[in-house]
Amino acid sequence: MKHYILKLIKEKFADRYNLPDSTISMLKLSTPNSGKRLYNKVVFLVFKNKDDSPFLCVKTVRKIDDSETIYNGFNKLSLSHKLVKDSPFEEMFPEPLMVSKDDNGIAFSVETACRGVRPKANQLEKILSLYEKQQAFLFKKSFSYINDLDQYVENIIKKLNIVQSEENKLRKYYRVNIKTDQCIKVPKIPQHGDLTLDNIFIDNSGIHIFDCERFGFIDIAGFDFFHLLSRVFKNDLSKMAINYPSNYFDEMGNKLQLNKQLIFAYWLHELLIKKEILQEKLNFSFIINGYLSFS
Amino acid sequence: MKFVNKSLYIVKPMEVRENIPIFSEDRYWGKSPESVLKRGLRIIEKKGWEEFNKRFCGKLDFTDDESRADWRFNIPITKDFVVLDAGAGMGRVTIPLARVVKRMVAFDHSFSRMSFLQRRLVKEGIKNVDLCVADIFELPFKKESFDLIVMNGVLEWMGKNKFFGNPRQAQIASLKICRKLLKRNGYLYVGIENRWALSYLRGLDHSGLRYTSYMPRWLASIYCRIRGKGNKYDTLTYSKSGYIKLIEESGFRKSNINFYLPYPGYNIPRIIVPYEHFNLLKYLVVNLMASKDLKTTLVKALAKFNVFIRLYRLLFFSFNIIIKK
Repeated sequence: MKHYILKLIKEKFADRYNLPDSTISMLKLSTPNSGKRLYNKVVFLVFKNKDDSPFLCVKTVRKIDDSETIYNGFNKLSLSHKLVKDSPFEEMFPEPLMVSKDDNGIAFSVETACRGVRPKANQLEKILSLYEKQQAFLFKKSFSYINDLDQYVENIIKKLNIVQSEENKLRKYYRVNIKTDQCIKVPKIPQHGDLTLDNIFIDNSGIHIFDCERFGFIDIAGFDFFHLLSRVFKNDLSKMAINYPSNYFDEMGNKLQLNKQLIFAYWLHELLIKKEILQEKLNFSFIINGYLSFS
Repeated sequence: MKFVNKSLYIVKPMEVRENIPIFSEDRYWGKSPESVLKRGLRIIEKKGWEEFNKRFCGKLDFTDDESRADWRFNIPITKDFVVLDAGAGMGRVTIPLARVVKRMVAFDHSFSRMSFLQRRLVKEGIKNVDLCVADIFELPFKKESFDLIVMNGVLEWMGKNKFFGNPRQAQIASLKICRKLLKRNGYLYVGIENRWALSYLRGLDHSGLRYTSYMPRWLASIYCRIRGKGNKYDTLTYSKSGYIKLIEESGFRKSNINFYLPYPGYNIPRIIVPYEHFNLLKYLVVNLMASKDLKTTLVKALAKFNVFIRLYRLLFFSFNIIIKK
């Protein structure tokens, strides 16, 4: 596989990266969960000569049946790149270059490699501020809203597909303890879906975000901050709300603040993402206990 | 006598049990006693895999993690490959490889482990694997039968055999056998520890004792006889240059030997860096490693100096060695 891909890279990107006389080498990476079917992705960073950083990133899977993962990921990346193309945020996401099959029929994709290094915890503020600006930019492209947050929450509850009685208890809890009389409108912005410090590089030019496979799957503004901060402060989730960018919605001309309803919606989305891993654990008490740990 | 693919073997098995031909003495090895594995096999038969996974999770050295054979990406494997998995154990490499090659032959000298692997193959719906119980020094296969031979965590144990008194000679003999069984331009993969691995400061060597891999061989032998209940030191590991010498003595050409650094180890190769590409290892430490604590922050800072990276490479835990015939 590697040999075939390297040959193809040399042919396809010879001019763009001045490759004909270069030695190319690859560093293989995968996450601890990568071999357990759910995220069956393998990543190769491609280096030229003795360069200090990679110029390309190749993604593939271990078997032909999982090829769809690569096509989906490439489509999501293309979508994210299209939205920021020719903007000051163009370099925030990798550029999708090609998707193809290797000599054994297994799909692989090629994208530009992100520059920079993994951020330190004390760079969190900078990351939040830069990402906030990008989110405002994306919002201004569409100006669309989720007009009824209650209905939005109801839709996620349905998608969780838990036992009917547990679902009813969850609805009742939301009605009694979380719901307010106001109808809340939330800006609609495609979210990265897996914004963590592991998926961000930082350098002098700004932040670079990779692993865009879930881009656009969630479109409720602010989810990415919730996802990022709840990982950074996983040992004390109550700090998530304290560190949440307070003027995030102001940038979009919206008076909304992070509130109980939003946290509940974000938390349900988190669970929806992890649904396959959680399986039987996903019941009323698990959901509510998790939600309460943010307060 | 009934078993699949008789044509594969050049000698008759001593016995065939559960359709698995047995060519050598059945010798069990593993994380738990054989009785535990046998109990597990009975649970699989009577109550199924779900119950087995519930009861035996963490007790036996099997895994369903398909990333264990990721070193294969550095070999130009095709759909036509015929592969031999030597010392296949419970199939951590056999299963992911079987999905991408034409045919696999997996052998081990424990019948119980092969019996477990047979059940896993049925569960996964994999039909292109032949299993047998055999000893690497008495393999029943025709020469030049395989495109790839896998020795994952096997070479260091070659000294524990009944044919050779000298463990190094046993290792060379096993590599020579592999060379003979490989087709022209075929590949041998060896996953093995580095003799100088820094992690041996914290844990036990294969001998079951501390620091033996760092000692001169003669000293390790004396130490093992005194501390190791009379056992000899026969689980040899080497440095990179030591492996090159060993492999060359087995008839392979030095220019056909390639080293890779798997992290955290050859059994869980989440990250694989070509040994010779120094800049990749540096990038890995400086750019990809998270600054979680003082230790990692210090390592990252030191990694900016080439001498530190060279030292780190020298003391890396293990190697993926890929040798072309």
